[in-house]
Amino acid sequence: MAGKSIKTNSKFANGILGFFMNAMLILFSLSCIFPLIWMFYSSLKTKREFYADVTGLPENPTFQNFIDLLSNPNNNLLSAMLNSVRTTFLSVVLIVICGYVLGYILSRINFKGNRVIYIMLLMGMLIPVHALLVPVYIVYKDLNLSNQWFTLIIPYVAFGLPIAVFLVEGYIKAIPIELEEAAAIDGSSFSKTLFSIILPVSRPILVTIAIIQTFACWNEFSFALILIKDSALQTVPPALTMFKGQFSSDFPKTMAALLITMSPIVVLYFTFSKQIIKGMVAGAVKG
Amino acid sequence: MKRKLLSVLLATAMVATLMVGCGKTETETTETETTETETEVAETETEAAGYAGELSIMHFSTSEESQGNGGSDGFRTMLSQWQAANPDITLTEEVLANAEYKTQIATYAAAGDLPDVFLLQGMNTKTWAAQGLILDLTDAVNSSPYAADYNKAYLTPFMDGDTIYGYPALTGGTCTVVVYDSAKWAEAGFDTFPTTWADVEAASAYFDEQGVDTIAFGNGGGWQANSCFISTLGNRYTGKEWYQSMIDKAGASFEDAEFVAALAETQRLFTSTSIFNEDFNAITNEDAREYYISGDAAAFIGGNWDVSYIQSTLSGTDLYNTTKFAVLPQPADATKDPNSQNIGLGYAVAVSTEVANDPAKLAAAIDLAQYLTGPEFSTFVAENYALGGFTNVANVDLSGFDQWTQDFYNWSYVDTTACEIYDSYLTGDVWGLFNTDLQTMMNGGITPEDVAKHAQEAYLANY
Repeated sequence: MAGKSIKTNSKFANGILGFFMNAMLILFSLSCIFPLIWMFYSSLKTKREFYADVTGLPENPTFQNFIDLLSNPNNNLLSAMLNSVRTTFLSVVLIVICGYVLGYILSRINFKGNRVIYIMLLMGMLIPVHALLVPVYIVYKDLNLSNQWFTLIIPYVAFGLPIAVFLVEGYIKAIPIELEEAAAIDGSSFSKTLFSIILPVSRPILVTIAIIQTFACWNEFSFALILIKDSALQTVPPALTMFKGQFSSDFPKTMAALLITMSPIVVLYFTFSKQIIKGMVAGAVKG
Repeated sequence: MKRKLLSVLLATAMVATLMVGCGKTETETTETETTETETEVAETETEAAGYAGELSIMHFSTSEESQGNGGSDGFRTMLSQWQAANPDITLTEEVLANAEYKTQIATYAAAGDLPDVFLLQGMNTKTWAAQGLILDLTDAVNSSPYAADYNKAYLTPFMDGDTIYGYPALTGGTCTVVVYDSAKWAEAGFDTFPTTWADVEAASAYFDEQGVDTIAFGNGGGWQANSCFISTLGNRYTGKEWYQSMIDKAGASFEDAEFVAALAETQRLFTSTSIFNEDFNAITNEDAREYYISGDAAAFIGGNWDVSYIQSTLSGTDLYNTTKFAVLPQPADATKDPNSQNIGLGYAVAVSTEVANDPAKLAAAIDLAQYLTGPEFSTFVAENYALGGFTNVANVDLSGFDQWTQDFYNWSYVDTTACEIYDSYLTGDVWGLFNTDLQTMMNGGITPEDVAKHAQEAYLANY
């Protein structure tokens, strides 16, 4: 009888605990999802309606902001999205490839200057980007590299490499060297070992790097602002600033623009969501 | 050893591939031409006819900015007209939103690579002139065909001594106007808006009972209390000469008793009275004007840009008909002009010194600057927006405008006296610190004396 009572009490306590745990998780989830929902319904408001009640639902929902955005050729939103997709894709591919090869070499091959190169790369993570804006601008101007379709890829790769090398180097160190020794005994060449044996094992960390760098490149603002003059070459972040005036801002239109421009990233996320979550976990554990 | 060699070769190959990729020049065009299409091309006679080639201009009149903003709309329209009249000149435009424009132009200035023509902010004039970045336009301004009609008072922020560095651009609008509901104030016992803060305090007792804010104000951005309050209130204590002395570094100081008194009065009004909405330091002017529009406040203090928004929002309502304009009330211990309001042109069309190397290009740049700020521009903004620019236009016909617009035009340009907009001058290093301190002071977190002391230190160190 007493045992049954203890069992019932324990079940009840578990139920209460479960309820609170779930309630907390639901709250956390809502705090993440609400900004997106707010952004969506705010984009259906007029400017006046938005300022009158910032969080309220639209009384007369309208798609006028979307129509205005897509019909005004001065907005360059679609070209900005294409530019962002191209720049981000190429940058991430280069960061992942270069980061992997460099990280592997620095992790596995002992040569004079190995640590010096590693430390120099890591120092890249310590220098604030804003301190380099003017020097980078001058170098680009003198080399006629600014305002080209590929302009932004160079700094994105340069500034993305340190973190990529850091993560790859640490990850590969944790892979047993016996794996490469076994491959060598079986006659595998260096490049085959690098790309056919170790690369598949390193996939989680490379996915992590790709995720981090995709978001970093997609959202990067400072270089995109100072190195690109031509509005046709603008990426998404500077293009979005066009809805902010000197003394007032059109937030509903900005929200609509954000929804349009975030679509490639959302598609990317849902396409690779499983892989992304796996990669994030691997990065958290190994990286 | 073989493996090491291969590693080095592989790394070298990757770097080389990267460099080759960077070097490819299959680029899209880097020139943008003005895309404004629906513009009537004026029969513009320009002196730029002798120049054929590129001319770059950087500005912040974006397509979005120009919607409802007379200055920006006029600027874009003039730019299109000038380009249409000068087909041999390829005008390369770089258009950014205002905040990004300021970052970008500062980067270009630091790199010594300013565009041929650009908008110069008053507070950068002396520094950039000293660095030899901006061209001396004194002769060009004085010999301009429109020189007789220029409102020379607008030139002050763009001068260093007697040298002029720019043509004041866009529209001159007030930065400090009291927009009030005359019906509400009549109920409180005031036929017109009170001329003293003492009367406003008396009225606030009535509005408190009604559950209405007496005056809505938003300083969430930090700059509003400077541009839309202290800039005018300070003038009531110090007079115009004091600020001119600050600009000229002729002996005036932020720590002068008159200016400290203005700060003290500001602190008193915001911390010891119930005149303003409690969240004034948390909300922006955009939020505060909604308090007025929705009837939750009997008045609002803001700039001409707020008036345009309130006008378009209230159109057709009772509040539209009862809305009036007033200057900032006079503090009891202030002795200077009680009818002043700060008005001016914050930017000027300037020309990079690099352009002087090519006389034909320089002529084109000056022609463009004169066109952007000349009578065509002023006529456009007067006829379409009832606004004024650098060039005076005679006999502005306001009859086509409604009473609101006519009243505001007369209030801005006829019935009040002008004083300076503080942050059109000096340097951003001073104002960044001052604005933060001012915000803290309005919450009671710092004394007026300390605000003045910090500002003076920043002034001496950076200006």
